Amino acid sequence: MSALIEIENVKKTYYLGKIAVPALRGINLSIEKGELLSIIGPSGSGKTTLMNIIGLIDKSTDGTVRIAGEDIGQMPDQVLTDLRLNKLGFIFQTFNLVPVLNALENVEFPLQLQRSAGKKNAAGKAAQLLEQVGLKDYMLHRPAELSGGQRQRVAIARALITDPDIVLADEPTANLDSVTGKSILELMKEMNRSLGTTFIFSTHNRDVLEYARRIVTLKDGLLAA
Amino acid sequence: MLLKIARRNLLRHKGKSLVVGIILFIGSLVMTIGSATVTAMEKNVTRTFIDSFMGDITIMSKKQKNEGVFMQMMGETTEVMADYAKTADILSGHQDVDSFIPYCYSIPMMLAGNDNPTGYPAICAIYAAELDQYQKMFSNISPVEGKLPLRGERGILLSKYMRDMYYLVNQDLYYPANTPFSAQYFPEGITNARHEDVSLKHNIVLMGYSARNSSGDVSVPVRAVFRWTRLDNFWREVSVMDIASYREMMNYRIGGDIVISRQESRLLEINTDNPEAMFAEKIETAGITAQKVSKPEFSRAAGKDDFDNNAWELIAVKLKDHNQKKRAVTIRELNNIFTEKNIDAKAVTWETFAGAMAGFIKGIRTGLFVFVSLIFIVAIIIIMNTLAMSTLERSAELGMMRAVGARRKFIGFMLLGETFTLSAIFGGLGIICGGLMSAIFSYLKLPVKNEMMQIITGNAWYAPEFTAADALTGIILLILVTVLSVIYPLRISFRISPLDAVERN
Repeated sequence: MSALIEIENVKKTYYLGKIAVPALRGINLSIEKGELLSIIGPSGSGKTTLMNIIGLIDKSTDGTVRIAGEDIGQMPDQVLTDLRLNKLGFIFQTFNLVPVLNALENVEFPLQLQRSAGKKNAAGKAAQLLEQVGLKDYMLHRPAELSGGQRQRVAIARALITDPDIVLADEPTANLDSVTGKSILELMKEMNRSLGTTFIFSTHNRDVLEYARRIVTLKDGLLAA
Repeated sequence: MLLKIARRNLLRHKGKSLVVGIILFIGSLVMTIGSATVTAMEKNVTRTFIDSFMGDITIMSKKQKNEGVFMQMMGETTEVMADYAKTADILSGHQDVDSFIPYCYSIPMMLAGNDNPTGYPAICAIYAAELDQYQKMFSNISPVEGKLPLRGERGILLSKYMRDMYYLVNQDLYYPANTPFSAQYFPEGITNARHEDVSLKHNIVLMGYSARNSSGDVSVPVRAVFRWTRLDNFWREVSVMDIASYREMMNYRIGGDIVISRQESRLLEINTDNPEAMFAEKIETAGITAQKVSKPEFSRAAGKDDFDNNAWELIAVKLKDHNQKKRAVTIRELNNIFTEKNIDAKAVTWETFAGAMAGFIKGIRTGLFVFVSLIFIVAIIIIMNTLAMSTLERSAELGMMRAVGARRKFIGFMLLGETFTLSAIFGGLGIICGGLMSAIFSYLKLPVKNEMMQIITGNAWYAPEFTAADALTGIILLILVTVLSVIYPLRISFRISPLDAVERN
């Protein structure tokens, strides 16, 4: 049985004018369904670049990425968009919630894009998830009215509402205090356990590694041994 | 969800929304009032030109080279229609013709009045017709003093403007006989003039001439001083005369009845290099036979009362339907009939007949269109720029939406929703306010003294006419402006990738 995500010799080079800056220099990685994987490494090691490529929001310069056996390299933008909507959940370092929507509406948003769930069902499911992440009393609050930790919880609920196969979290605790950060990681661990969703999170903070079942280390754009 | 986000975004960015909204409001307001003004202008110009003076179509002789008769120079020939009776028969039987009136128009010279032979000559544009028929068809003469002559009565109706001009040039003050003198007859602004200081006159002497006819002159009584009911400032140099006096002035005699003997003809052909021959005792008259002059060739025979009652230069034709396409069909049909029956007549539009004047009106209309277009171009640029800036500022938010699965189409519809919401609210308000203001202006009838402006307003007052068509035009233009304004911001939004959600933060 093939892995959920297969990464073969993935390279990514950025160009600063005419100067080539390699961010990933040949990554090989296989991630199974249901894993709770942490990608760690210092700043500039390529963690975010790798997360973006796995999360289909950036493309590799070279190499192959397969998700559920499908090579995403040749897929048109619309197919990638639909994959992001239906198969992936993304938690950003800076939360990235829609500022004009309240917590409930933010969580509902991907379901509304899917149009598969009715309006009532979407709201019900969003409310249930918000309750799960401990925001039962904040459903009608807009992002500006929530703390950093609460916003990240909303982001987690939003990432989970479409029942994705994979949830990617790029440094989800970077903007949170240690206590809130730990509670967020606990929540992700719990979701992984209860829902069987594959979680991949990147961090440069070695204190949070206890929450991961598997850890890969990136250094200078390569996987460390 | 899409409209919810759009609506809340507009409220969130109140400043930008207000800037775009105000531009849309002002643009729509100006456009609506402009459109209502153009509607009034077109309607009034139609009323003035078609309903009050020229009709939809003018019929003239085929020999008439310059079809812009109304703007022709003094002394230019207005040809007489050789087949007026046949032409009138055809017009009477045509299903599209509502009414028609024959008339003559030229610019004779006004000689000094009856008791002031030393005065300066002046010109006087003359419209000659059966005046009761004219009033029935056009109803555009409002006497200020005196009254219209009865049918068969001779006389001239002098325009108020020309009466003032003659006073200012020659100090001759014309006014209708049997009318008590009043100091109000003096031009406006003349306050110190006294009855004793001016030459009061009741008759005008006019000399008609053209390239075809030698001059003739006629003395006609002033029956009334009048203003044109509609657009007096436009027609004010034109006075009106009875047709019999006009024919006498232009020497339109019955050519078919004139018999010129060979002897007379010989006299006319006499060699002027030898004036002695004119006074020879005996002129060769052998073999003289009478010959008829062909009908269109009018000839002078002074002293004979044989003016041609069928001598008309022009016919103004009103159609049942003023639609321009239908008018073109009617003109084509009439011209085909005239050609088939070999009739000396051709039909042209009133615009052709009005010559440069119609072009002038068209120019004003084009000018207004350009003005409104410029407003829209400026509005489009400002709105486009504001929206583009707003889109760039929201890159992270839009990128995040793309990252969580929103297609480009969704982002596009969201931006369209925001812009169209602004358009609908502010632009719609602009159209409504424009309509209301037009109605208020129309009710107030604000006086317009500038002549150029009077041509735009079509009256001596400003009364725009806001119609359903104007509202529809406004809505269509508003949609067009919105679509054109949002194209560039949409292109920017389409370039925003999910990566922007990460990088912009």
